[in-house]
Amino acid sequence: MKQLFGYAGKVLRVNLTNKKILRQNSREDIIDKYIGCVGYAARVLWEEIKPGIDPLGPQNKLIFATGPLTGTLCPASGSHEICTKSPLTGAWAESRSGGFFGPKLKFSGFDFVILEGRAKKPVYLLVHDGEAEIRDAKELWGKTVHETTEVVLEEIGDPEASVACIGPAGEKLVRFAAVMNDKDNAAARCGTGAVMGSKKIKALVTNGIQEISIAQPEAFDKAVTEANEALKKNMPNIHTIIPLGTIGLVNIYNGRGALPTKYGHTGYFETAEKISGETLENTFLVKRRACFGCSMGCDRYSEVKSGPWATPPHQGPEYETTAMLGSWCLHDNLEAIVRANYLCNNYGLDTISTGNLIAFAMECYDKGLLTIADTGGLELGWGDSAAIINLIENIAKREGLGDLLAEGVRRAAAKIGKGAEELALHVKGLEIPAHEPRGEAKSTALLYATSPRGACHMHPYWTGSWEFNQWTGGLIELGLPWPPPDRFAETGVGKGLAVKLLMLHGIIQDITGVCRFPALGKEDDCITPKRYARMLSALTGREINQFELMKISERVLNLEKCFNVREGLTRKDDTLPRKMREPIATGPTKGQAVTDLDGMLDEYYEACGWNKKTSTPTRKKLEELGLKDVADELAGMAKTPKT
Amino acid sequence: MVKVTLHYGHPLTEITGKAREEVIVKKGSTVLSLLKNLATKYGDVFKDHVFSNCERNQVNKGIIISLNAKNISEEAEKIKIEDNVFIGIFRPAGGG
Repeated sequence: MKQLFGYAGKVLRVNLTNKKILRQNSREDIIDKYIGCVGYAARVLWEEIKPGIDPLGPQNKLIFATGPLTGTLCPASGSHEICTKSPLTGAWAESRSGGFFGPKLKFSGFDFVILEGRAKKPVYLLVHDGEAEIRDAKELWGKTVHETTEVVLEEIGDPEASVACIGPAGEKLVRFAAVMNDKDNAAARCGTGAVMGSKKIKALVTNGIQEISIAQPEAFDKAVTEANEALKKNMPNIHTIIPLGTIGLVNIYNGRGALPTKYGHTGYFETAEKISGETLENTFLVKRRACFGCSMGCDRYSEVKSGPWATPPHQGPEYETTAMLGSWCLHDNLEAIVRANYLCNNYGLDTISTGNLIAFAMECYDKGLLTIADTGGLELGWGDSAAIINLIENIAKREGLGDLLAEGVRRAAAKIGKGAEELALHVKGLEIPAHEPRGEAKSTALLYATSPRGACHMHPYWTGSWEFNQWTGGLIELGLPWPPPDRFAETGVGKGLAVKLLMLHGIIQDITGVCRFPALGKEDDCITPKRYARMLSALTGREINQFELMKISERVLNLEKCFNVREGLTRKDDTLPRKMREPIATGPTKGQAVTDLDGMLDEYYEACGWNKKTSTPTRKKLEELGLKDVADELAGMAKTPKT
Repeated sequence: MVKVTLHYGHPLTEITGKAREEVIVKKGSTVLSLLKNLATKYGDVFKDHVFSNCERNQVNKGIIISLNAKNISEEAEKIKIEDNVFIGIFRPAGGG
């Protein structure tokens, strides 16, 4: 095998059923067409898992994936993604986390870890210096994320190793359980933690000293320097994300009428300041933190020293957590939110889904769809801190009402019935996060409807940045309509094309294995496709320009879409909940609603080259992208049209 | 006279000491005049943040001025304030 610059060069394949460990070469044919990280994982999962399998069964596979830029001097390279079939949606799942796990996995000698089968008893996996070992995790099962991390690091005698693990929520197969790493970094969405729990693997621990080879060190250094020089001019980072963290967005979003409040009733929270980044800074903030290789340091580290919500120092809370467990629940007690964040981290729960479920429960209780008998005596008043904390405990342990909510909002609503399904805010089963699409931008609404993993504001990209902030991402030369139209406009203004291009830009970060934040901004102050292409070319020795890179992104997007098509998803699954068609009740964006999703979808499908009736990529598009085998397989299943 | 709810984003939250305030302004006054009054109230740090050239009525291009969520940064001089509007002054930021 020729030297793969930028890659560790190996895949660790672990069969947990028969305990077979294989060290395989990273496949050059996949790297050539898909680059790495999510792209590589998408191809492996397309080839190796059959449609219709139970996501929590042994036939599902869980892939920990890094990319060529992971662990290098590229800004914000401390990423890894976990890919699988989601137990929450039954569709494509990719879940990104920061911290140090991704780089340390590469330094241990592996680009990817593929987990297969199911262990008979709880185990954990130690990965270091090109080797791997399955170890007994009987004593770890039942422990929280923080406890597990501390015990494992002591057991292996390497405090610098990185631990990715599940908490009790993953063990209990809560469908939105997270895989946490370095204690408080979360690969949160889509229920990857439940898949890990279903395989009875408690943790992966990794460290190593393998260097990542660079094909053209001087050129790489120059490209990295140029990227960093651009980021130094990024005012949004300088003025908000760096000084306050992502929680600094609370006041901004509220003032712009885009802070999701009271389970979709409005985008304006009257007491938002109480849960803002400014308030955190003046009360519970201990310090800032950064992931591997990141100069932004958007993480916060907080502590509540005393009182009913006393919480030890830990990372968070982020904007999403604060909004979902705050304004979404009409809740303005920041101490309790800090506590709630700590519990979610320690139990291993996606804070977005958890907040959505809790607010859903409050909405149902408010409307009489859940009674005090259903809640086991727990009053679920809006803004009730105790109710929120109690429900988090119950969900993680699958006790009482928590057992129902642990199934995710789509299933919970179906079980409750009585009209609850009309209230549930999700797309494809993934709970809607803290960007109010009616108040932020209609491209966000389109993104929620079409993102392969379900309702997501960041995967593949934060498309709202285009109209909401007038950011180009460096895409004008790639065809991004400019200037952006009014953020509330829907059709006839190029939003379908824009969403497609912005998604492709985001997939560049997902296939190279880096954080998305440096890619948000304008031509001169963010990492554009051109800048990523320059770094990638110098790192790998393979000359690639931004157009070619975007083409590879398009291949990955289409493969993810086909994964969903193969699982039976159609245009009807690219939708929005009814509430998004109702007007926002109060605040600066009062009256805004999504009125023509169908029109936006038509424009998006046209831009993508997909069949408008079914949303399936056409054969012509798939063959253009080198996915003829995918087109053939779908045709064999009668899932593609003839053209 | 008309009521305006003002919203600020960081660093204006630090400069003004608040995230939100209600002000009463003369009916028919422009958004630009309001910004200038705020600059007088909060001083040069506010002024230098919001304006690239206050005397020439030039709002900093890196600032979003929103009126009921519509971006009116380039029209601040023309737009007259009506009753019960929301006006926001923010650096563009997002992600989460």
